[in-house]
Amino acid sequence: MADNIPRISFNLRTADVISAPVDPSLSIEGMAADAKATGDALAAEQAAREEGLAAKLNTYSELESLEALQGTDEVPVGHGGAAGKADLATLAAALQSIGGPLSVANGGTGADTVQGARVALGNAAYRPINNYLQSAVTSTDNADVNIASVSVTLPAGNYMVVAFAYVHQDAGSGRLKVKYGDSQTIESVVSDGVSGNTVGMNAMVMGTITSDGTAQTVALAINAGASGRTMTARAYMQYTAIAIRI
Amino acid sequence: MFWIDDETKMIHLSRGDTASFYVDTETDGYVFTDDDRALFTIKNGSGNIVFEEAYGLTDETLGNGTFLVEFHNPDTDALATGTYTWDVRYILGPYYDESGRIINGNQVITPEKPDSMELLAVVGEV
Repeated sequence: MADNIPRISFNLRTADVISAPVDPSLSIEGMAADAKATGDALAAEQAAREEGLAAKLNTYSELESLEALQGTDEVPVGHGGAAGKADLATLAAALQSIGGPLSVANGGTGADTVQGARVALGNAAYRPINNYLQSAVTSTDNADVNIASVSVTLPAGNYMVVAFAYVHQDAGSGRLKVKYGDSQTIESVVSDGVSGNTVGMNAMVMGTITSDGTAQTVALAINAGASGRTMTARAYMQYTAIAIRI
Repeated sequence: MFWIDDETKMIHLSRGDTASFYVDTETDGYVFTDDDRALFTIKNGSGNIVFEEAYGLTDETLGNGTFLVEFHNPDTDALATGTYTWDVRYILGPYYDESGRIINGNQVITPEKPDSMELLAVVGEV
């Protein structure tokens, strides 16, 4: 009986109908896959950004470490008085003699004061070792007497050490010394040249030392140089030692 | 008496007769959903609807896109003899009013212009 039922047929044009989800990207699965791909891409981008940021932070950290190694850009060396100003000039000349950028600025306010004056050492890695002498110390005969000492840890390498102190040698020739550890000593001859002279002088010692990276005691010392002589580091005068990595 | 002109799709039906015919819908890849409907409508010369029926298009026995139009005696027994027009409109994703009548759809497609229907006179009354 079904065969006797007539049939009518219509054709729906493709353009007239909503497309079946033949495009995989339009299916739920396709959209889910797209969403996952987008999420993965965003996650990868985020990871890359974090990695880049971490790299930058590492760089900054390294820079901070280097800065810490270098100390600060400026080294305080001043003490009031004309002697301090003279020492500053001496130090500047000494540092210039070993090369590298150097500038000297007088941060004080008075005509004869260099309190707060600073020596900028450019890019050199250095470690200032400085203090004020609180009381006079005297070497008699041939004994090393420390003006001051401090324990420092310099990264392994070679260093130019510059130190100075305001001292008085009563007669003949004494010594101003930088003693680094047990075996390294730098010294210079100090001589007023006039017996009984009590004016004193700015003495400087400069030389190289080698650090193995361990903590060592750095001492600034005087030595009267011979039996019967005295050498004094004057109270309240400045002394400084600076190690410059070379 | 009932027949359909194969060429013009004109339906010839004696008033009050029972009759049925299939409507097949060929698409180019589209698969009808359970929501889709085909609206078969007959109007008289004044534009009044005298027959209207919405058919599903997903009957598993008939196949996707095929529906069966059936005339029962009350459908045409009280109608005047003469010429009517009919068409089929496909409503994909239909919207209904409160009475359940289709009022819109995501897509409304009329595949052909309206065709004619001749309601033939009868002598005997049922």
